[in-house]
Amino acid sequence: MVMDVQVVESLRARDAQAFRVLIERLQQPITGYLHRLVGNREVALDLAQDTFLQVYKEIGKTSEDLLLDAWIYRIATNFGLRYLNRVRLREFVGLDDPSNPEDFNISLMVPGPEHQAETRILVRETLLKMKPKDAACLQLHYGNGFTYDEIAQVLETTPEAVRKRVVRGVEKFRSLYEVSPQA
Amino acid sequence: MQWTPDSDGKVHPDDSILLAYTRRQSLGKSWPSIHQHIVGCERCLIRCEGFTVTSQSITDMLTAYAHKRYYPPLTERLSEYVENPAAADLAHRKRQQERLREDLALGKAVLMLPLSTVLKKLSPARGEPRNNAMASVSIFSIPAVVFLVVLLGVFIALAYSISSHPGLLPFRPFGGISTVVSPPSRFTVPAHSTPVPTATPVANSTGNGGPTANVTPTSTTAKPTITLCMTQADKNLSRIRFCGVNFIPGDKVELIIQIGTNPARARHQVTVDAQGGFQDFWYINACKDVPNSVYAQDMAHAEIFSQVLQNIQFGKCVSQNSVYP
Repeated sequence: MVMDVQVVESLRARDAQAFRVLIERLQQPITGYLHRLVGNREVALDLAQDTFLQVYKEIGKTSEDLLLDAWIYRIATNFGLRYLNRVRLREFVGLDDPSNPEDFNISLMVPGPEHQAETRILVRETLLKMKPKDAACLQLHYGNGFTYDEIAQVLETTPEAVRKRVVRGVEKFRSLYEVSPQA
Repeated sequence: MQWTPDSDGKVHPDDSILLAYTRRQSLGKSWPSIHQHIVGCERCLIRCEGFTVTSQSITDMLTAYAHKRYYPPLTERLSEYVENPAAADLAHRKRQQERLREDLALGKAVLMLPLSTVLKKLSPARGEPRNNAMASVSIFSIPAVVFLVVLLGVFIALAYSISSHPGLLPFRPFGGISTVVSPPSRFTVPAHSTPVPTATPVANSTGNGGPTANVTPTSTTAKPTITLCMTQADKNLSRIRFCGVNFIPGDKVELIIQIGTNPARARHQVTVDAQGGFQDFWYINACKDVPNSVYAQDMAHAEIFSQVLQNIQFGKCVSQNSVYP
């Protein structure tokens, strides 16, 4: 994770170039993370845009020793979890149909063997069946390579709590996906 | 760190620790002991191996999932906002308004859901025979309906129990808080007898306890006197207040009160103001807390004390007979 005091300083000074560099560096991973979290490409793009706008708006209120990436992922995670909560509530009250990973339509998939598309659908469905925070932990660790300590900073929790969430996510993933027979 | 015993009673690190170990995550100071255990424990080694395989599968799937995606750059769109903060603010506000609208619609839907579901399901569809209406009620709506009925029942029961059980009502001896403001209450002051500095004062008169009764001192000299002097605010807050006059300015006085059948006790000391007056008050939570007798004692001069107030009426509560004769 990047902890560049100079970058933070430039961003705090509303340096447009620094902001552009930041977006270029983090846009793909953040959007990918949000995409996996919420299961909808367009929503993920919207949320990523909201995340960066929020970063630009709120960076001035942060301290100089800010862990920039963790902070940005925290904003993105909050946006993602808020969206998921809203979706679940909409489904509950019947405003929406139950989660249907629309963007796993084959036409939206990159060309590849048939089983890859199926795999993605299964991955997506498995993640959607988990508790959102467990899924976020799993994705940040396995998908984005974050350590437990870094995830703890993102989710504003303890590394012990992250450890429990990750193992719960793995167990759930394994039981739903049957990726590996456990001894 | 959690260690759990197996069927043989041997303890092992729990799965979260084993997974963290295989993922080379920080385990703090416990790492050496965990490592030492794992390398010598076949069961743990097998579980670690399982986690390694699972982790590899998950990593492969998630990274493959991520890497084959391409998202159009947001740089241009966001740069526009950065260069024009007003536009950024506007976009931000617009998004907030959209979300607010969504939330309002959602809130409305949540509120309307139980009612609309029941009404929709119970009303027969056009052309459908009336007696088939119940057949259209989804089995999934039954728990919601039952929940609503139970909730309604609880509300009704609660409302009934509150209205029929005075103990559940807040203690309001003066009725509602919107009562007409009346002048401070006055109580009959019993005639002074000989000074009794201990907590066994003698009162030889019985007041009529009416809130508009007048003070009837037995002497024309300025004797230390206490009165019940509640304001409307005190009544609203169920607070009893006593005012003392004709005490020595600067002295400390305390009210000696006797409640129920308890022995008399002194309240905390209060200082007499420059005009020779003082006030003391406390909260009354039930009629039984209304004192039977009250008098004030000057702490600096044992010979100075007030008359004894008895038959104190506090709203609808009238104090019991004093233990004093």
